[in-house]
Amino acid sequence: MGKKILSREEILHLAGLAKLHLSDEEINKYQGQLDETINYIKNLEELDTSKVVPTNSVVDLKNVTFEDGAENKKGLTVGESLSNTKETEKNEFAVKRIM
Amino acid sequence: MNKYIPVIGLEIHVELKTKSKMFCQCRADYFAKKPNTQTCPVCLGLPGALPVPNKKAIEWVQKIGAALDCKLRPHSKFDRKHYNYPDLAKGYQISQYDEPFAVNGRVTVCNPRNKTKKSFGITRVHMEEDTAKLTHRGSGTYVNFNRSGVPLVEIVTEPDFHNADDVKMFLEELQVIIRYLDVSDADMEKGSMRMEPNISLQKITNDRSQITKKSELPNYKVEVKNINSFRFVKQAIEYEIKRQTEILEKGKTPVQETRGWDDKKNKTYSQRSKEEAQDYRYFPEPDIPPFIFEENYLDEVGVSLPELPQEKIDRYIADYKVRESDAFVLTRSRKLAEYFEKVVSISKKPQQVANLIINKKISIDLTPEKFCQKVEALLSPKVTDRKMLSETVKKTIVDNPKVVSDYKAGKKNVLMFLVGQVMKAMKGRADANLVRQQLLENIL
Repeated sequence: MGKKILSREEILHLAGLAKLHLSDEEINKYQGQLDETINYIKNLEELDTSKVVPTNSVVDLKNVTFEDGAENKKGLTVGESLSNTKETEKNEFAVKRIM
Repeated sequence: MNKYIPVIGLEIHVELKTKSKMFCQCRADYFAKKPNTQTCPVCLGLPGALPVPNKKAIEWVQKIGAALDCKLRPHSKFDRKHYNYPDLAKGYQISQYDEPFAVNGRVTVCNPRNKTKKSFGITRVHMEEDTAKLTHRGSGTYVNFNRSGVPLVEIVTEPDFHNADDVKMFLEELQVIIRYLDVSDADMEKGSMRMEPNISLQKITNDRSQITKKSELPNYKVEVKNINSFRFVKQAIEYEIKRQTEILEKGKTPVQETRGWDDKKNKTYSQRSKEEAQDYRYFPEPDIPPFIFEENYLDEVGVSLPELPQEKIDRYIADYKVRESDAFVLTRSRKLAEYFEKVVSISKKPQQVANLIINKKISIDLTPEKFCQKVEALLSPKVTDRKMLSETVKKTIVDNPKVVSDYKAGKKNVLMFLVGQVMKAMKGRADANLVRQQLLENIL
């Protein structure tokens, strides 16, 4: 393995954005894995993409919308909505206090 | 002598009052509803759920763009903005990054007090989704997803403001415009209109024209959140100007950060350091195909706008010869302006009608026709029926012997009581001076 692409600080910054708390061992592990990912994507640099228009969407569709006030066929009851969570209180999802 | 000039830009969020949410068919009117009763897999961010945009919400954001004199983009798309917070179950908010629905607008605001007009640039108007509502109690934070996915429009201005008064004036005008369009309640207390000023200070150089150049903008900015009234915006800006001046005076640079407004202590407080755009890892929303609009369609959005408050002010002054300050007051709500126009179309006395409405001399709860009748009655000179007056005066004197004797005994102020009695009997159709004169002649 050559020089690291991502510095230790950058790994910690990215982990912070993802709310991950990494041990020293994990920092090294992720540094290796992310470098590998970036190197893989870097293969694209071998291709001449100067004449390729950026692709925002791979489907051949446009202007897909629904009419305001259309019938709600997927609505959930409070019970259904809360059914996959561990902690609830008074019909609300409960998480550790964040402020 | 001030050494610094404030440079202020604004971000304003407005919730649209569509029936459905932005990307699903759940009801959007979440106010005072029981928690988590208006949710579905899309607005809960469950895996595999697919968002589909609300057509009306897009029409309305374009309407707002057109009303703010923006260019409506023929090509637009949604993007994912990533951050992790309990109000956002998906881990990203569907928003717009580089292709917002509307760009490069301008709003001109008239100040009726000093009859000046100022114009402020609009950078962009884009569409996004509101987040879930968080409540903090004890050791927990509680999440209600009824608000998650409600259509939210973000309006971003150029850093064209240099004082708190202009900001307040602009925001008030913006609220009036949004309400004219009938697309949002724009109610700050209910949270359907929220604003975040970005404030920094620019050192004044000899060449004052430099401050407007982008390259000369300060190298930091402070964003203030949690402001829910126009008055607090003004106070928060004034507080920040003072706080930042003190830091700069010490030769330091204020920290680039997001601050909150504490309306009890009347000060701002540090919340968190501000993310850089790259930290949001924006990328095109793969679940929503792009939007391509025909020129005809976009032209039609502009044509279909109602007459806006500033246009009404100009017309009232030009066509009705109404005073500018009155035109301003009359146009603060579309309903009032339309009522005024209806009354004027019947009575043809614009300035008098304006006075009567503004001074609340006649109730605007009346139909315009009834209002006009009252206008005629108030404005036409009083014609007194002499015969009826003479009879009424005599009768009033006979009916009130005690009052009359009091008057004769020197209690001069009881005369007003008699005048009142006569006016009442005549249903107001008499000249008060004449009544007084007749009473005196008959008593003595």
